[in-house]
Order: sequence, then C-alpha cells, then structure tokens
Amino acid sequence: MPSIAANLVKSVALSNEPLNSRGAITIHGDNENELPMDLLLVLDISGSMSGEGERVLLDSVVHTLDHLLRPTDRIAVITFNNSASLHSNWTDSNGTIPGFSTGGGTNFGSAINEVLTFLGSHGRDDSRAGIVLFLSDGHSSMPNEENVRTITEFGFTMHTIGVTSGANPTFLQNMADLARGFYFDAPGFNDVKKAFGSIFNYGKTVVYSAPDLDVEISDGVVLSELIQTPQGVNIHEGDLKPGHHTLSLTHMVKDSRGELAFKISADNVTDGDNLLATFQCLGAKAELRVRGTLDETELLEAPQNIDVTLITKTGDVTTLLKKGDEHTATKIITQIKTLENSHPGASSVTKTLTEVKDAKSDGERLETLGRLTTTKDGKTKIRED
Amino acid sequence: MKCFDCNSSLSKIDLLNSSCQTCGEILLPDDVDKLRQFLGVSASKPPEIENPVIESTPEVIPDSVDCPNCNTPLMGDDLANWESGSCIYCGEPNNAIGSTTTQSDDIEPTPSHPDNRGSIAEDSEIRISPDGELDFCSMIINVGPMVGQSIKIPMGKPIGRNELAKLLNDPWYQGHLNRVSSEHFMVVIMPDTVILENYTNDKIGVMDLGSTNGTYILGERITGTSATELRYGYDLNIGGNIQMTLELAAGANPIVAGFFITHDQSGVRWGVEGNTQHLGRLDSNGEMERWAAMADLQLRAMAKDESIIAYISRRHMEVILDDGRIKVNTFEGKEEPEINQNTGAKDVDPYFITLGKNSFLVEF
Repeated sequence: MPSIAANLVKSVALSNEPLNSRGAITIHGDNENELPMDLLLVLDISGSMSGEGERVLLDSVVHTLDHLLRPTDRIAVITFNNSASLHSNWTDSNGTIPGFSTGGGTNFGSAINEVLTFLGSHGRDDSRAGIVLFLSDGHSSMPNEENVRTITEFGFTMHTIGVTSGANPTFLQNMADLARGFYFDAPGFNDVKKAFGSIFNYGKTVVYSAPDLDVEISDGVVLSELIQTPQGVNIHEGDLKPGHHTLSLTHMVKDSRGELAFKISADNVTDGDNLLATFQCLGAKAELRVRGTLDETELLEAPQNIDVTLITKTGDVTTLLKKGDEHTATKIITQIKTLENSHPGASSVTKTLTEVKDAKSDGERLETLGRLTTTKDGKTKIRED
Repeated sequence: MKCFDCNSSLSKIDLLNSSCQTCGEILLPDDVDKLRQFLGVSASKPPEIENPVIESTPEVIPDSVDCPNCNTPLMGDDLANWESGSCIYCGEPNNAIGSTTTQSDDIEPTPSHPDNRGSIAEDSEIRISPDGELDFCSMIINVGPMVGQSIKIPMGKPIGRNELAKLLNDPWYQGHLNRVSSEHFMVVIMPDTVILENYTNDKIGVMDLGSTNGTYILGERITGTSATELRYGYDLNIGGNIQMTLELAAGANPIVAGFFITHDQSGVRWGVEGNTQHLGRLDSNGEMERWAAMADLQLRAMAKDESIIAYISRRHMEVILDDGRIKVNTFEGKEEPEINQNTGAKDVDPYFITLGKNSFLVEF
C-alpha cells in the first residue's frame, strides 16, 4: 500500500495562541513498475524554425521513434505557428510521422488549446505516463495559465524546450512550472536532441502518473507556498483556505518518494489535539495534527522534525534558484550545512543543491532542478539520464 | 536576534515553536540554541531514562533451613544448633552434618564445569515428543557475554540456577545466577493454545515457582499459579540479573517472528511479532520500550556507556516490514536514520539502520 505522512516541524505548539509554522508531506508509492509512456510533442513550426530548425525537429522525432520509444510507448505530434493542429495521432514505434513545413508566427495559446482538445478527446489514463514536450524558438504572449495548469488534470506533465536565443525562457519556464514539468535550455539546435533524450529518459522512470493530492483544511487554518521538492515545483499559487482542494502533483518516478513543503497558519491552537488538515494521495491518507500545550518546558524539549526542516529548506532554495536569487539560496544552503553532523540526509541535500547553484547557465540550472529526486530513504540526488 | 527570512525580532514564543511566528520560517537547531542563549533560557538536557536495577552484589538473606521433622525454619542461633547437632524445637538429629546443607535459596553455587552440561544445550531443534508435548522453547539470552545467543529452555519443567548454568556456558554468569532460585520458573504452553495432533498455534507462557527474587515479564513481577503469556519482544527477567526473550515459539507449526532486530551496541536481540517495531525509547504509555530496557540493562551489566540510548528520541521511528523489505518511518527523531542493505535483495540480506551512536541490524 502506498503511504503518506504529514508532519509539522514541531508536533506540539503553545495553546491558546495562533501558529505560524512549516510542514511537509512525504509520499511513498508501492508501484515499482514503470508505466508505458504517452509522449505528445508540441512543436513550433513558425518561420524561424525553417532550415536547420526544421531538419533538427525531424531528426529528433525520427531519433525518438527509432531509438527511444519502447514497444508499449506511443507518440503524437501537434504543430503550431499562428494556429495549431494535430499533426499526427498516437502511434507506436512502428508508425511514421509526416515531415513538417514551416512558416508563420508563434502562438503558444493556440498550441495549448489544441493540446487540451486532443487530451480531452482521449480522457485520462493513469496506467500510462503522459508527457507533453513543448518546443519553441520564438516569442509569444503567455497562454492562459489556467489552461496550462489543466494539462495536469489529464495525468500529463509538460516540459518545455527553449531553442536558440530567440526563445522566451521566462514564459516557457512558467508554463513548465504550471504543468508540473521542467524547462530545458537548448542554446543551439544540436542541443534539442539531448533535451529530447533527457525528457524521454525521465518519462521512462515514471511509476505514478501526475497523482492527485486531495487536501481538506480545517476551519481557521491556511496552507500556502505548497512546493513539491526537491525539484521546486509550485503546486498551488496563493493560499489554500478551509475546505476541500484537489491538486495535481508531478509524476512520481521509480525509487523515489514524493515530498511537499508548505507553510501553515492556524488562528488558534487549542489545548490538546488539533486536526489541521488531512491529505490523501494514491489511496493513502494522513492527518496533520498539532498538540496544544501550556507546558513551556515540554515545548522547549519537543524535538524538531529534521526531515521536515530539510524538505522545506530545499523548497526554499530551489524556488530561489528558479527566481535567480543565488545569494539567498547560498545563505540557506550554508544554514542547512549545520545539520550535516547530526543528520545524515543533510549532506546529500547540500551537495545536490550546491551542484544546482553552481550550474554553468540558467538553462542548465533549470534542467538540473528538473532532474533532482529524493530516494525512498530521504536522500536527495541528481537523477542520471 | 532577527528572523533569517523576515528580519523580525525573535521572542520566546518563536523559540517555543522553533519557528518565527511572523513568517513561519523554521529556526534550525543552531538558531534555537543561539536564541535560547539570547533569551536566557536554560539549555536543554538529554532526557533522563529510568534505569532498571542490576545488582552485582545480591541482597544477603539470612541462611535458613527447614527442619525435616517439624518444618520449622531454622535461622541464626537455631541454625547454628542444627548445624552442630539437632533441631532446637523437636530434637530431630541432623544426619547431614558435614555436607553443604545451609545454602540459602538464592546463593547456591553454580556448576562451573562445562562437562556438566547435559543434553539441554546439545539439543538444537525444537522437538515434539510422541504424545504431542513440546520439549523446548528457543529463547535469546539478552544479558552477559552470551548476549544475542540462542538457548533452549525445557518446557514444562522447573528451571532454576542449575539448569540455567548448563545453558549459560560462560564464567560471567556464575556470579549472576546467584539470584536465581533452584526452582525458579517454568515455561509452558498456554492453556488456551490450540493443539491439533502435531500442529500447534503456540502461545508460550511463564510461571514463577515461588522464587525469592522474582520472575518479571515486561518489567512486571508475575505471581500466582497461572502462566503469564510471553510474546515476541517481551523481556523475561529471572531474578533481576538474567534477561531473555522469545526466539521461537515451540511446536511443529510455530508462530514465527516477522523479523529480528539486534541493537548493535548492546548486542540485545529480539523478535518482532507482526510487521512493525517502534524504535523509540518510550512506548505510547510513556513506559520504556522493552528493547531499550533490555539494552540498558545489558550495557550497564557489561560496564558500557548506557547513555547512548538517550540519543534515541522517545518516539523516534518505527521499522516496518513491507513485502520483504524494510521501511522506516521517522516520527520525532532528532537524527534521521541511515538504512543500508548489502544487495537490496528481498528477504535475503540484513538491513543496517544507523542512528548516530546507535545502530540496529534487522534480519529476516
């Protein structure tokens, strides 16, 4: 059975006072079998992709068909310029994909709409790992955020590839974030094939397809800054207020555990047991509780949950690195280092976060963030492709 | 002192919650220590643990002997008269003058020659006699140099210091068996155990046979004529100095422990019934977990540093056997355990759980 746990940094709090704290959710799945993959390519065929870009696109698609697709995997292609259309429906490695003809402008919005139409026509299938690979070398207005987020409701996550300096990394990064995916920087057309390989290798390890997290928040409690770690995927913008919420997580990959960091505030902690929230994922349920006490000695002696601390600090660092705030991220990594002597998991966290921070370019940093994973025993590492 | 994140001034309520109550930012342990110092709050102390008593020198109980004729307990001058000739009360002559007749119940010397070991220790398998009675129960001795080793306790027979001396083949035990009575306890099959021909669902029970220094299960002295059930992970303490736990309930169809755990520093080993073992110092009732009590006794008995157990939190973590693999849930441990397995193969290799100064070996 999958299991889920929700903990605060301290499981006791001062009674008759409001509480501001941090917490974390950890999810352990029990499926060790990789899911077959549905790879939906969304390719920019605007005028700027003509020539070498057109050739690289075709090469990448052919390479995917010939060398990457497993017998059970499927691939489909949507192309877009000023408008978008289905270029090739689901096919396996034995199928063929027609060539591309380039021209026109770049419209991300129409591409996303076509993705939703296509996915909507097939429905959600949790037995397959759905991955959208969105590639563009141009600028466009930002598509409707809610539409991008809706992709996850079909069990798909979307990764974006920005090709050449003509791409808009800010929008593409934002789109990847909203769809629980990662942004890949491809400075030259030759980098596209590498990005394809990286995304495909990731997709091959998926064991749970964008699972839902159901959250029930008690009265007087607010959750915010829900970040899936270690990749730093923002799961919800703004506050989660009392009531029921369904959130889509990013895929869970083999031999990993799901982690979410959050901030929590409660109007008042009563003496004794307080149920703050319940979480359900993959059929498992966890309650987030805090025990109110007036005994200050007990509070002082209550241990801090270091696992929660590391998850939340990792979320802080990765969020800052995505924003480009390397300075504050470095300060937090230095903070976490103080835990290394007493907490073996801290070493793997500081090591991997330092590697991300020291990446040679923003693109490489974002790609490395996407490859971060936490093993089942809580060690953070960079996934090998 | 300011919050790392929002720069607001930190106060005692922030210290109590280990987080800034303005922005929710976590205060790391180093920050907590600094804030304690800044606010003048005394430093934390490691939790104290209630140590069980082990006495290297047993309590001296006056020698006595019952007169074989009038059954009067003879002590002091009465005993001296008996030893010199006869009972002062009935005149019964002492026919055994010159032999060792004045040993008290709890200081009888232990046989010291290994050659004296009988067939008890030589039996390596649990057997079922033709009439279906079970002969031996496999136990783990959890004190002294033989800690963690298996011994076979005869079932349905009085066990005392002589029997234990044959099983505990190390000189260390000679000095520690003197609190064990000559007929101290008996291991039995519980009355409600189902026995169908040669197959049993064994429930092992222990009866105290009126011993001087008592028989304890889960730290509670057992009394009366009925048996008290002994389950996996329960500590059976004989007279205060000898502790053991169940390794395998006897029988052709025994109840088998889900897995075994050894606390590496003490060597204490125990079986886990079901699939979960709490590895914190205290149970849900705030009582010391029995594995911790056994480890503490053993560490002190062997003059090792027993304070290492205090590095495990009261409710630190639990080990779960899940489909042939070990998982660990950490609750409030200050240290996160590190788990290693040689090959990662299911049901084959032991797991090592390392937790600062403590480590555990989990075997199937």
